[in-house]
Formats: sequence, structure tokens, C-alpha cells
Amino acid sequence: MELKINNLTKQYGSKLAVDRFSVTFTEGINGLLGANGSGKTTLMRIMCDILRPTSGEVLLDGVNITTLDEAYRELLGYLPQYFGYYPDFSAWDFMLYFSALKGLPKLTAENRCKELLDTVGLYEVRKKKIKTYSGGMRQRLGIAQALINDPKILILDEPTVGLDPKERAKFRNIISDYAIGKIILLSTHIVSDVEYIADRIMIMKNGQLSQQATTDRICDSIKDFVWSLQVAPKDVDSYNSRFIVSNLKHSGEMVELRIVSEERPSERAANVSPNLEDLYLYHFKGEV
Amino acid sequence: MLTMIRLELKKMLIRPISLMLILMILAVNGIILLLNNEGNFVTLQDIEMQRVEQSQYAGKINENWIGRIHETLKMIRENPDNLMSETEKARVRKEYLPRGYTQEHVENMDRTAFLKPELLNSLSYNLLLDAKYSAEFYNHAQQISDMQEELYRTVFEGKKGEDLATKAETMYGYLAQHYIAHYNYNLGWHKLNFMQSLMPFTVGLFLLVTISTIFSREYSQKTDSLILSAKYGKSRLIYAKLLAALILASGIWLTIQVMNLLVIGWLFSLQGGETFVQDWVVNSSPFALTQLTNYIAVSVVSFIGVIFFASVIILISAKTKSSFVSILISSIVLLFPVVIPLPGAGGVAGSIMGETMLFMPVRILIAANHFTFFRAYYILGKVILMQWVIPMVAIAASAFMVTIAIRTVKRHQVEN
Ligand SMILES: Nc1ncnc2c1ncn2[C@@H]1O[C@H](COP(=O)(O)OP(=O)(O)OP(=O)(O)O)[C@@H](O)[C@H]1O
Ligand SMILES: [Mg+2]
Repeated sequence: MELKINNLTKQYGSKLAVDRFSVTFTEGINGLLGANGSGKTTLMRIMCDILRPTSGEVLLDGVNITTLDEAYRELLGYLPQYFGYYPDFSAWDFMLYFSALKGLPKLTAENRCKELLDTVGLYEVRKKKIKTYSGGMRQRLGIAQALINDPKILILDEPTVGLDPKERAKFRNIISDYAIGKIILLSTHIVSDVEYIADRIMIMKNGQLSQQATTDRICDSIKDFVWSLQVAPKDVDSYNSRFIVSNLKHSGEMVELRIVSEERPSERAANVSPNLEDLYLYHFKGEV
Repeated sequence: MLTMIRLELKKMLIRPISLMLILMILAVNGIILLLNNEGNFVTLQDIEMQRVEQSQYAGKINENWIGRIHETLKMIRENPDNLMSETEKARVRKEYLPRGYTQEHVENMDRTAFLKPELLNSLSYNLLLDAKYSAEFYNHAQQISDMQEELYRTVFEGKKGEDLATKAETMYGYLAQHYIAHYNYNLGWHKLNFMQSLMPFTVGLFLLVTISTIFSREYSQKTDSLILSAKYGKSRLIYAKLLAALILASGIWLTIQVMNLLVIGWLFSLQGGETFVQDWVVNSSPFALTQLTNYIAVSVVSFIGVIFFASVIILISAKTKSSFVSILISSIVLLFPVVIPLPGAGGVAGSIMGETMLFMPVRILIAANHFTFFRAYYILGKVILMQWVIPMVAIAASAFMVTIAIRTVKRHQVEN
């Protein structure tokens, strides 16, 4: 199974939200990294067949998803970045409703809902109205909803927003377990969300794909660009204005800087191995 | 599908505002059922008295019956007990003079002018007058027949005028010459008919508040992305929603109708279903309808009206991004035709306006007025009664609007 994005463009007025974007997703977890406004949500909406692109197409095994229509959506699970809920529904109603919408038979639906609510830790409160839930609980309900139909293609737009560290870790485990044999696309600007679990990472910038590689190779492109350097506290400002400082740590009298730079920031700087955070900063220097 | 319909109903209905509205509507409808024309609560005794009194004259309006009514009336008027004393008569005569009557007229006034006020105000005497007026049924029908015939021949030239005139003449002529009207107590049926005019504020209001949210609320509360990306979100769900709306619309309509029938049946009784409907003032129906068949005809058209009404709301809901705006627009579009009064028959603009009003969903929902006059359209050389055209147009328009709504939702784009 492969999901191919073919020269996709979405234009809002003069703004190109997605700009000639082409990529092929295969099975495994694909992390989509990008700063605010880089076009992740727009891309995902098009991939979920709820937004028409200005041009280009999304193909599942060579067939346009709008042609596949129901057959495509049957395979799809989607967690939107912003989504609402029915205030007077309980979590149980909400899950049953989407089970019906995704075509699960009633009995299967009830078992599946029970199982998923249990997984996201909402089973105990399933009879309570959603309007009484906290933000994190609603987000978890959204995740459960996306998984109801056991989707082969799972699109998650900033799934960890609002989750506390414990839930975040739990979420990563759920997704890792789930990923086998499925195409998962997960957008975020939180690097640690994808650092450990993604098989591939894509970096989106101004609507374009600016880099993609497997997670272990993605940092190769900047492997000579990350430096460690000890400076006097009075010099910190000067380095900060000239370079991307990805970390800053006080050690005794001195300050230890981690710098992302194509050229050596100083004679005394030593090369260190890059991580994803460095890469992110390297790509979005002006923007974050 | 059943789960979807059930939960769609829950979305629209199980909201504090919807539930409050139901209670309010039932209360208002209930109170109005118990009020008489003057706005006082009716009493069972009063109604029973009228029923017994009026039932005496129940029967076919024929020579015999008419003779009997005139006879009874004459007897009452000639009964010296019902006449004023000489001094009172003199006083009445005096009162007439300053009002501009000639001495001669006053001298020759017949005894009806001198009946005791107790008699004039009595229920039995007034019912008798009502019966006497009903005795004129066939004459009234003949007058209208002549008037309408004349009207159409002068207003429209050629075959059109001729055909319309013939149609009117045939219908009213039948009432005047062949139809046998029945007389009986029928207060319950009048009340039922009156209750139709309340429909916009009960059924109409309820549908505005509940169905308006059907699609617009999904957009405004951002559940559209979840729905439209689900397998059946662009197909079965839309039909489930429409079915839920249909259930809601027919449910509330039926509830109100059954409530009216039950309360009126208990309070006024449904006696007199066989009686005629025309009063020849506000109701000059060309149809040989009885109160019962009139009620059935009105109900059928009213039900089509409720579907039409709901379809407009559904279309607006599919097209607007917020449920508040959707309620607002629907209210304006749907309710304004009842709030503004029909213009008097003033010129071309007035008549176009009046014609358009007949086709307004809310007017069709009321339906009661549609059967009270003769109106026909001349379409492709054929005379077709308005009472046929309107339901057909309403059904076609509903189907069209719902189709557009479905298309709109299917094509809905999730944007910021
Ligand atoms: N409906 C719209 N009308 C106009 N511009 C839009 C619309 N939707 C998105 N945009 C623009 O398109 C660009 C991409 O937006 P998008 O929401 O896809 O970014 P994103 O990567 O998801 O950002 P974030 O990380 O903040 O969620 C932005 O510049 C945004 O302003
Ligand atoms: Mg986004």
C-alpha cells in the first residue's frame, strides 16, 4: 500500500498554503515537522478528502482518492487539529455515533468502543457528557475516534496537543504498537513526539517539502553543522544574534552553547553529533 | 443507520433549548385550546348548553328544514311574551327618530324591532338566527356563482375567461343546485380549523430552532472534519440526518394535531362533521366539503406544508456556516409571511403579493385558508385549481431544495 501525493497545491488568494508538494508515504510512521503556518493542516485536510486542492492529486495505489470516495474513507482514520464535539453527547454516544458513520455493525462497534475508551483511559467516565471533559480528555477521545475503524491510513494532526507528559508517552506507545502494516502520518512541531517513534521524517516549510529521510539519517544533512562551545557570559548575546543557539547551559563561570551553523562559530568550537531539535532549528531559523 | 438516526435526533432534540421549547409550545397550544373567541376560558356547561340547543336543528337543509326554522322563528317573534310593553315600544320609537329614520319608517317598523332584549341576547334565539342564515346556503352559493362567472368573463378575455368562468360556475352551481348541506352543532370543528392558524408559532417555531442546526451546527462547532472524513459522512449520514429531520417535523406536527383533536374532542366534541363549511363571508369555499372532509384536506396540505417548511430550513442550514445565522435567516424567510398582513386587494402589486403568499411555506403549513375561496390557474389551456397546484409546487420545491442541500453538504470544504 502506498499513498502518493502528486504535485499538490492549495492556494488561498495569493497565499500558497501547500506548494507543489510531492511525496510518497509507505507503511510505518511518518513524522511531518513544520513551523506554524507551514501548511501541515491544509495538506492533511486534502489527504482526508475534506478539502479540494487547487491542483495536484492524492493517489492510493495509483487511484485518485476522490474516485475511491467511500472505499478510501473506509481505510481512513483522522484526528483533526481543531475539532468539535457534541456537547450533550456522552463519550459513549460520541464513539457509537462515529462507529455507525464508519460502518461498523452494532455489536462490533460496542466492543470496539469499549476497548478504545479503555485504551485512552476514558472508559470509567464514558457516560459523562463531553462538555464536562478537560481539554486533554477531549483530545484522547479524538484519538480514540480516529482508531475506531482500525484504519489502514491514520492521519493525526498535532495529536499530542494538550496531553500531559504521561499521556504523551502513552500515546507514543499506542501509535507504535498500532503502526505495523499501516500508513501513519503525524504532524507536530514538538520534535520529541516523533523523534523516537517515527520511521521517516518530513520537513515542511512554506507549503513545500524541504527535506525527508529516515529518522536515523535525517540529521545527516547537518552532521557537520552542530557545535559545542564554552564562552564567557558577556559574549552570549553576541553569539545569540549571529548564530542559532539550540541550547545554553551554565557551567561554573562559563556558559556552554550548542550552536547550529554551517561555518565554525569560533576556533574553540567542537563538532558534536546533531539531533532532531537542531535540524528543526536549522530549517526554521527565522521563524521560531 | 438506526444508530445514526437516533443520535441525530438526540443532537437536535436533547438540548436544553429544544426541550424548553417543546414544553412552552405544548403549554401555549393547550391554553389557546381552552380559550374562546373573547379570550376567556370556556366552560363545559356553556358548550354543552349550546350543543344541546343547536342539536335540535340538526339535519339536512331542505325545504322541510327551512320551513321548520322559519316557522319556529315566526312563533317566537309572535309570542306576546317576547314583545316589549307599549311604554317600552314608545321609547324605542323615540330613539329611532334622532338616528335619522323618518317618522313613517318608525310608524311601520315590524315586531322584530320590539323584541325583548332578553330574547335578543338569548342563546336559543341567536342559534335560531344562525340556522335561518344557514337556510340561505343555496342562495348564497348561487350569488357567488353568478358573481364569479361575471368576474372571470370580464377580467380575462377569450377562452381563458370562458373556461375559468365555467369552472367557477360549475362548482358553485353544484353547491347551489345539487348539493345537500347539513346543519348541526359543530363548534369543535371550527375550533380545530382555528388552531391551524397557530401552527407557525408552534410547529414552525420548533422546527426553526431544532432543524436549523442540522448542518450549520456541524460546521460551526467544527465536527464537519470528523464527519466528512468518515466512511458514510458524505452519503448515508446525510440521509440519516434528513430522515431525522422528517421524523422530527412529522412528529411535532402530529403531536400538535393529536393534542388538538383530543382536547377539542373532549371539550367541544367532534359532533357536526357532516356540516357545511361555508359562511359566505370569510369562507366561500367552492368545494362540497363537510367539516370532516375539510379537516382532512387541510391536514393533508398542512402536512405537505410542514415538509416544505422543513426543506427550506434544511437548505439554509446547509448553506450557512453558523447555526445562529441559519436560525435567523430561516425565521425571516419563513415567518415573515404570517407576521405581515395580506395587503388588501390593491392593484397589481397587491395581487401578485397575495398570489405569492399562497405559495409561502408558512401559509401552506396553516392551509386552512387555501380552501375558502375559488382560485384556479389557466395552464396550457387547462383550468387547474390552485388547491392542486400548491401541493404539487410545494412537493417539487421541497425535493429540489433538499437535493441542493445534499449537494452542498457533500461538497462542503473544511477550511479555517
Ligand atoms: N481558509 C484559509 N484561508 C486563507 N488562508 C489560509 C486558510 N487556511 C490556511 N491558510 C493559510 O495557509 C497557511 C498554512 O496553514 P496551515 O493551517 O495548513 O498550517 P499548519 O502547518 O497546520 O500550521 P499550525 O502549525 O499552526 O497548525 C497559513 O499561512 C494559513 O494562514
Ligand atoms: Mg495545523
